[in-house]
Amino acid sequence: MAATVQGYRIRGATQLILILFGQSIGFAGYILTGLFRDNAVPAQWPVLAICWYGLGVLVHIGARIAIPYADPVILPITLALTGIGLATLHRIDLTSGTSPMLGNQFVALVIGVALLLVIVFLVKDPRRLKGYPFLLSALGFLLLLLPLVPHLGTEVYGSRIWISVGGFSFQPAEIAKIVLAASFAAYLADKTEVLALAGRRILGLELPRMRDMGPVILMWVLSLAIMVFENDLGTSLLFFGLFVMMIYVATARVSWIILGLILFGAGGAFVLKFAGHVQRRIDFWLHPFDFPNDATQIIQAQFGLSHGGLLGSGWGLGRPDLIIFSYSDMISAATGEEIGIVGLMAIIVLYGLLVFRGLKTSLVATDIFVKLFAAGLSFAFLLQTFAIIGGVTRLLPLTGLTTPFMSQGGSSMIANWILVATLLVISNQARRPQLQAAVGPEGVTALGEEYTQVFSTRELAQIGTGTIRPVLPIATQQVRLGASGNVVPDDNEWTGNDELTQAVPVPAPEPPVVPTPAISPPAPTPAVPPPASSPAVPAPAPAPVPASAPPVFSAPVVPGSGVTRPTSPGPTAPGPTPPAPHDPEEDDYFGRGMD
Amino acid sequence: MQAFTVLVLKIAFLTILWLFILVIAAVVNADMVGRRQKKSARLTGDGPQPDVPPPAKQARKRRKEPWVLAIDSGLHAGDRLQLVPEVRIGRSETCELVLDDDYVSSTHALLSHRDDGTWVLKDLGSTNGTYVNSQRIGDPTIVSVDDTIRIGDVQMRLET
Repeated sequence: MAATVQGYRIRGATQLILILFGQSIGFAGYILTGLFRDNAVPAQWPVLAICWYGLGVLVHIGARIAIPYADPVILPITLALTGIGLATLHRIDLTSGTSPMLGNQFVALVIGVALLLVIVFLVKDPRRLKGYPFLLSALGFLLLLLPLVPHLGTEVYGSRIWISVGGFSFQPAEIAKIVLAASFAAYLADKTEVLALAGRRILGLELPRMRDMGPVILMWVLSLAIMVFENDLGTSLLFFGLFVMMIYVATARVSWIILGLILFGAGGAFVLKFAGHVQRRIDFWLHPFDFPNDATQIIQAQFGLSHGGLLGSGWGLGRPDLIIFSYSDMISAATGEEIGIVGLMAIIVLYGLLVFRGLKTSLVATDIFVKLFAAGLSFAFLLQTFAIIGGVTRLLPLTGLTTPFMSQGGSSMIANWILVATLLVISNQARRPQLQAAVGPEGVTALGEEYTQVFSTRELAQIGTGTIRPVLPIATQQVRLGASGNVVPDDNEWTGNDELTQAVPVPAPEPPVVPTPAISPPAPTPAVPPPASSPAVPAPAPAPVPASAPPVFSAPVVPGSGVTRPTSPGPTAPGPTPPAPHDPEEDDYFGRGMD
Repeated sequence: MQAFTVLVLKIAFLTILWLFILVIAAVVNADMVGRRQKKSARLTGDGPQPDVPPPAKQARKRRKEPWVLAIDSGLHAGDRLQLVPEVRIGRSETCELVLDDDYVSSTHALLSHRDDGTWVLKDLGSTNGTYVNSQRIGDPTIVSVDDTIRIGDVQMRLET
């Protein structure tokens, strides 16, 4: 069976249309603000339209060139949310009387988009990150704890989550969430087996071994430290939650979640008792109206949302000037007041769709590290959005997290665009046409993620001509290029990496199996299968290469002959027939136990 | 601006917002369905035929034996597939029956014909297991026309 090119289509035009559509939502908000407030379209709208849509077209072209197979809806959703955020900030500018925020925010957006383009053009293989788990975690923890350094960290409104260098302030936790997601993924990709399987069953709950608990305890202590010393419940919750969710995704053991909840509950109770500010947050959440002078923003947000009602007051007709921090923490209340609960729900659905596409990317990816990384980024994004919008709408205690893409603030904007860029790179890699290049004589693919490298057809052509080399020592001699550019596996002796041929042996059938796939369409009668009708085009058999030989990448290109796989390697195929490699761990990390 | 105009424009804006979500959903859906159609086209299309016809003397005996796999639910539901003596089932391109389901391992199970006319189903170390009549099988199991085989979300039966 010739290796079939399989993958998703390039959705270039779709993506461009969706981007322009998504951008138009924010732009419509901007136009409506002018119409509703001044009965006129804002005078400078052509300039803004050129900048705004120009940015969208630019990012589309960049993505189309660098990552053509990436998910076509991630960028449009991101730009739609950004647009709604910008329109809200512009609308707040009109009534706040302070210096306009729209300009600065747009600059942050441009920086974010520029970084996205740099990442999608330069980063080709996110798996490289897998090699540095400890460096990444050290960097992540450093970023998280940076605000505690005297003179560097600054305390803003009670929370010590900012650093300030030379006039610029920055929230390092925003970058830390990406770095830590990568480091958790690298650690868990290594330890999945142990964490999933080792342990004892106590009280019907499978408990992990004590020595596997180290990193969990470390994360727990760290998140409690953030809660106590940085005074930020949200950041603490975000990172501990991210870690627990990623362990759960990697192992599919509910016990990790229960353990995480117990740990966080115990830690929370301890902190509640000894750190007064956390208790106050809880009180403001449960009884905001008992603290009219302290829980002001929660009360104001409630009134704002209630004033907006179902359909909202209309763009420009609400009173975000009455809500403290309507431009940052409480932006979902400001937007929600003007577009109503119907609009706010749509925004939440958009965030949900973004997370959904991120998790889908994780499912499609083949490499376990990349899978976990994509899932971790999605969960970080999910937890952050849930915590802040939940806080504003009083589902949860209010935390000092930013609303991704909407809140005013450069570090949040830039960090979230980096997050989206990473997801897009992963998505492009996972969705492009893939050929399983490691093909044995049985035509069975060895897909153990450690040993598999996937190629696009173009890359295979390049391997054939010696332009590029595969990273892995796979038996390239077995991959030949037909005239059509399709790659056909040779029936020659399997000479690949020994590790590829471990695993479950397929029982040797008697008589020998016909190797060609032969599930044919519905049979009208229990008929006798049609006679053999597959003239084999005998291919020149390359000399067998010893397994220990260094890889020689000289896949012969057979010009113009349209080589197909000889149909009957059968028992006469030269050399020993290794068992069909099968690695049960290669896929379905997410499906384990979820029948 | 008149209150009525404001109301109309407000509703128009919200309609556009939700329309965007619907369009996104349609694109996501097309993304999935488009891929599945390609798969099933290959499965039921003019794929390669079995090379070796069954020996003539067995032909009569074969009529009574089940040589058709009927898929009842999941991917390719409703398809009836002509079997060959050895059918690997899995997500990998190289299997005889390709089931592109998230819960199916790359080489999931093996359905093989034995000389006495029975079919044996063997799990090839799959992640999510192979089920015969809702029982997860560990050892190779003989299946007949009365048994329901389930792999991932796909249920199938043997038919004569």
